[in-house]
Amino acid sequence: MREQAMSEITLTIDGKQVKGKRGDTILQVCERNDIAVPTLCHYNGLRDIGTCRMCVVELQGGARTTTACTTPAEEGMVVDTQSPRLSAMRRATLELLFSERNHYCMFCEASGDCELQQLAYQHGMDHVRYPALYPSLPLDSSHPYLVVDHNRCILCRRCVRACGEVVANHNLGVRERGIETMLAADGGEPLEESRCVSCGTCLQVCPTGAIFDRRSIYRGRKADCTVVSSTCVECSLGCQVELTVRSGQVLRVDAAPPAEGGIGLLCQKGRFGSLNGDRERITTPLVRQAGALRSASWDEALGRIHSRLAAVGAAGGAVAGMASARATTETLRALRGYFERALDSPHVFAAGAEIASDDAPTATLADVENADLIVLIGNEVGAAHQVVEFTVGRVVEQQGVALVVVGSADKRLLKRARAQVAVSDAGRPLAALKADANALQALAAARRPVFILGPEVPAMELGPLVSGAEEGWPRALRLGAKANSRGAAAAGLRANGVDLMAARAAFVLAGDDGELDGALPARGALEFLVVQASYHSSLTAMADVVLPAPLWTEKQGTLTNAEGRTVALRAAVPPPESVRDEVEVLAALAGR
Amino acid sequence: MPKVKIATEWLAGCAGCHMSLLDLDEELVKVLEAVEITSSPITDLKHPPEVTVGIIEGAVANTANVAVLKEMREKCQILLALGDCACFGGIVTMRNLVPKEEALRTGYVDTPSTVDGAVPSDPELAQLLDRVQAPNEVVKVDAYLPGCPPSAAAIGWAIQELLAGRIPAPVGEHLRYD
Amino acid sequence: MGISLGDIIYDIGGGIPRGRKFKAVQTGGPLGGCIPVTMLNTPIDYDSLTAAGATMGSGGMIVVDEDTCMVELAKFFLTFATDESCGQCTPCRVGGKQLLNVLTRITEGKGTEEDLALIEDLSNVMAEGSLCALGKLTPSPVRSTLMHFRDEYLAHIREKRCPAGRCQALTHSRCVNACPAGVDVPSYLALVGEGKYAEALSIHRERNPFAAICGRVCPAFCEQKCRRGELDAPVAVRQVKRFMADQEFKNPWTPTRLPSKGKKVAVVGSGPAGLTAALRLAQWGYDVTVHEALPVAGGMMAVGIPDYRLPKDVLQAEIDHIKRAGVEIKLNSRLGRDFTVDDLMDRQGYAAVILALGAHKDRRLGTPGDDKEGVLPATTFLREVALGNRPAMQGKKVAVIGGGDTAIDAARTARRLGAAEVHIVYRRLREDMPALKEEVDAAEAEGIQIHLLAAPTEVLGNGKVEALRCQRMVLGEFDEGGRRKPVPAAGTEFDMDVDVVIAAIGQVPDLDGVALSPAGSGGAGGATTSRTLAVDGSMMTSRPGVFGAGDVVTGAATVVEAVGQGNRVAVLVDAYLEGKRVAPGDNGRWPDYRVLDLTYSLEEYAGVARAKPVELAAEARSGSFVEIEQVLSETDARTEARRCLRCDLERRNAE
Repeated sequence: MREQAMSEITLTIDGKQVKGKRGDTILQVCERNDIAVPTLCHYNGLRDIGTCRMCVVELQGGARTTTACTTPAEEGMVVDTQSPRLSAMRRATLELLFSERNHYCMFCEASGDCELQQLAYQHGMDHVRYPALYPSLPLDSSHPYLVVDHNRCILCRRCVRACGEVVANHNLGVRERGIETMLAADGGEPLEESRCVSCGTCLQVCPTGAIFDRRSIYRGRKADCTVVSSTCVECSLGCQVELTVRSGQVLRVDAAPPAEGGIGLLCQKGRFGSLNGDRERITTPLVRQAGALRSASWDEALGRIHSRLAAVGAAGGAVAGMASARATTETLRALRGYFERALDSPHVFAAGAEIASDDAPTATLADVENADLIVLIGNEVGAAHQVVEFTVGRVVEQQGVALVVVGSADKRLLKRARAQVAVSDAGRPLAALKADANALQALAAARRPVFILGPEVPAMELGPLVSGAEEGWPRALRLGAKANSRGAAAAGLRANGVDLMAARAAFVLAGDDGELDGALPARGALEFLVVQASYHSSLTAMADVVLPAPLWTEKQGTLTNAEGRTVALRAAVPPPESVRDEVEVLAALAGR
Repeated sequence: MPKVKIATEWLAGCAGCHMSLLDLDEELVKVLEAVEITSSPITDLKHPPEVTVGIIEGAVANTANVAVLKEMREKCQILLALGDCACFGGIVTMRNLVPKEEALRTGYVDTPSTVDGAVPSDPELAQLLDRVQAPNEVVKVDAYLPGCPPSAAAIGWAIQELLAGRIPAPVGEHLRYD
Repeated sequence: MGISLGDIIYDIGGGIPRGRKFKAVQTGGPLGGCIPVTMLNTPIDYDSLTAAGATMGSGGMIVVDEDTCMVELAKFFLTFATDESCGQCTPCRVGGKQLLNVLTRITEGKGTEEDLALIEDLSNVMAEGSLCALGKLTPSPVRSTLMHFRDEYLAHIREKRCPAGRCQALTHSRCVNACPAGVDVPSYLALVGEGKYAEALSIHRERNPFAAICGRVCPAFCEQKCRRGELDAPVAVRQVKRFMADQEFKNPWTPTRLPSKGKKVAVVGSGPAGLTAALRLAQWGYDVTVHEALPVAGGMMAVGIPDYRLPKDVLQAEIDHIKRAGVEIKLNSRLGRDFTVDDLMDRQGYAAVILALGAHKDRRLGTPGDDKEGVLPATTFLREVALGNRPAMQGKKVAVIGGGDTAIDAARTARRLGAAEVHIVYRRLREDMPALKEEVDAAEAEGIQIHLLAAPTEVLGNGKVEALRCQRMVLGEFDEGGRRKPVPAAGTEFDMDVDVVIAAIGQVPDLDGVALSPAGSGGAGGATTSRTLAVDGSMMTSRPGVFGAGDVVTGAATVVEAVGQGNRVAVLVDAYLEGKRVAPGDNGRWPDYRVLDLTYSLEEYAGVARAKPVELAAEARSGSFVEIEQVLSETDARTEARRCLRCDLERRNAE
């Protein structure tokens, strides 16, 4: 109670007494109390720089003005957030911004969702009193996903801060000074040639149309669209996403804001690679006839599967099944259930199901933020889990946390590592680690160590390595090969041990996993092959029956992520008409 | 009550704002009970008499625009800028991003379908200004209604404001730039 | 309290080099402010400087003289500050650039009246909203120059003129810029150099019809700004002008005239302003009549400047040119006595009237006894001499109070009339005397005694002058004009034994009897200020169609300034009568300035020293009124003309 009283402060804002916490800025106190203050360069999760001058407030009855975002709130402060003088200052700032560069709202893809425009409307800006400067500025459209249009940039530096503070990449910066200031990537190269990792965080924080996403432009303003929360299934981190949907199409993937505040992170795969419109979609069941696949009704396709698999079973042949561990837990359970009960076959596995389990409690990404030592073990650890890379990089840079890499990782992380231990002996990182004095020293000093292990690393005894660890530590974050590796294992599916080519019949549940394409190099001894997939591939080209499967954006279900949490997929759009959910299909097959 | 006299003109504009004005549709009948439109592209009369309100569309791109605008300023007590081009300069100002000579050459000489092109130079033609300007850089403008075009509803509202003796200051749904 | 700015600049710093005038001092560097001449007494301490609109900074003080354009100076500092801007906050990054753009446009002659409000607005936005002190103080030099030198900004905006002759776009060459009549100096010098005197004179007359007069009496503002003067000595423009005019003496000029418009214009006053205006209007087709109160025409040229500086026949020849243009001059016709403005406008059918009454009334001495017999106002004294009524001076002891050209003229005239002793009493220092330096030197050479730092306190005598009591002065604080104020030094009175006291402490226009408003409406029209005739930006008085020009509007000035006024009012009268509007900086009726080809090698004349003046031998001087200064020889004149560096060629190269 006393602690709360000590950390609580009282201010008078706009004539009302309000409470805030010691350490808050004036803006934070306003946000706590739902007092709206106009801002542009401010973004929750980024360090405030106070450069746009929109959040100016008056102190002590107008004696001074200051920016609310950079001024610490103090007990007894008297603040006014609205006054004719403040409105005039804000309006002048807006007019200066509009005059500085080339803001053509009438054809801008951000119009309607632009924060600059919104503030201009709020302040009744119906003209600009300053002559426009009309600088001739470039458009950088080198990048496959993002376009940077300097004509719309207001130099708020949100993107610069995001790239540096949140992702620790420091690709975006500014060059020149004064009126010549320009946003620049790396040394001034086109974005595509810079060290951009295409995480898209800059895109998400940009208040105007200066940085925009190629594929979703002009397809709908926020007011025209709905937003569906879901989970990314490109890797085992299961980052929370928000899908922007309009007219039955998913336009864009954005990072969902974390519950505890701050900026959500995604990586290239999740933000851009997960909506792959290039591949050829399978929209109806297909059966092979006279050497070629042709459309068929569900009835015919399921009938054929049922009869052929029964025939193989009756003849004593083995029926094998393979799923992708990207599938939802419900889907995987349904497949296992189908095999065990309907087909009476134990030969079913999920590619990428987790196998190893270490002697430490599972770490979450929040634990990574609180650690005092991070040890990465594996080959190119984090390359397929870039959000881990970003988080580790940020934590190491901003908090000075020690980093040890056993094996290999991105060179940006290696540069910051206390020790890098080469693992020459495949599968024996422990030995290599114990042989490295620097690494051992870091391990010995650690109180809250977190180990991040790649899927190819065998189970490890981590406890003995960190004798000084606190109760409950070390913790281990085991990265899965696929989104639902943990869920697949929990659903009772092994990661391997079944040779499809040796079976008589096989059922491959690929779903929308693009990486299962080479899972079956040749038919081998297979007399009958069913493939349930969203996209055509060499796999489906070999099949006797192809069943269309929904995409991750069309499915409802749950997965278990690398942190051990249950995360949810929500269908944002319905699948095409003749596409049915795998669980429903398997139930129908089992029911025949 | 005598009708309020207004005049309208378009400078370097696409006429879209005037089309939006006409989109008042049947509201126009009521408006015309209170307002007399004197010279206007709609009435096809060229030079304004002394009027209470002048409405201009478009930006100032050449010497003819300057002359027309100055005449409007002289003859109109209250000058209203209609649409983004009249309020801010608008799309027309994109020409400012390249040198004037380049713009003329691109338009009259370098187009794929032009043979033996030449930039017109007849002395009777208006000269392009070095820089396209918003009207308020050339004359004093009294009221602004942005939009591309402003909606008929916004235009109707602005006219009602003027008839009520107020300078329209658009806010909320009446203030749009697109 | 610290030492004052003036003390530092003058006493410690030694004053402004080359005798130029102090204009402003910038303290606090590019983010500070400028302090004008009216505030030289400001002590150097933080609070005082801040209150004066500047700041105390580590950058020292930058003292600028009259040749600095304050608008261009502000732009210079602004360029520096905007280059330094880090660019993070909007008000400084964008506001600074916008402010620089406005200043740049003004220096290019493209400024508008609205720009002043824009400067005010941007300055406030930057001062209030910028993140750091750099942005907040960037507007300071602009603000302080606008506050203290608003006239300069207005000249750039309204007249497209840079008074300091700095802004390239507005300055043809520094001599042309300095000439109040805007005479095309480089062109006529070039033609004189080639021996083409008639053509040269014709160019001169385009802007100033009195080449022979000005060739003798002009203070030559052009020479003061001549860039040749930065090398060795200025080109002796006035003397070359005189040579050129004298060459063509034998060819009387009949100015060209347009066909009559059938409109009449009356000019009251036949001084340089009135005659110039009359000439221009007559050339443009108007029927012009000039009314002159005195029995002779010419104004101060006739009755203010003694013969030894300006012979009467030269003056008459120049006046005859005007008459040959069809201008009618009515002598002995006095406003108020013989006619009124109403008569001209309402009954005699004049479409417009120009009041060019000059400044012929002397200020009174203002001391006890200044009404005694023997106390003469200087202009009255000189006028009587010019009209042939020479007062008796033989053997008398004369004291002339004042330090201007009128005082010197009066002193030297008294000498020539036989005064036994002539004393000049002046309250400041010699370098402060407004008179031409050559005139002061010549007076001394003629035996006239100059008493400095002295002022009269009382005229003593029984009904008539017997002595003049004076007091010594010491120089105290700086006054509004930037000169130290003379302060009486207690207990230093002395008496001067004199018979005549001539008061030459300034002339003002005589506005008694000037009734502007229509008869019956009462009063003098309410359009006059306490001393000068009030006119608006179009040089029109409160009565439509009645204009003012020359000394009656500006206060006592020089012939060439009056010519400039005459040119301007003629354009405005013509515009008024034609119903046209004159845009600022509009050359109007005058041809554009030429840039003639360079026909000689500048290097060849680089080492040539300025021609020495030719004067009457000293013995021949003081007893007579014969012209003292003689004309240069043809060789000297042509050589002198080619000492010109042809600064106007920069204009051509810039295009």
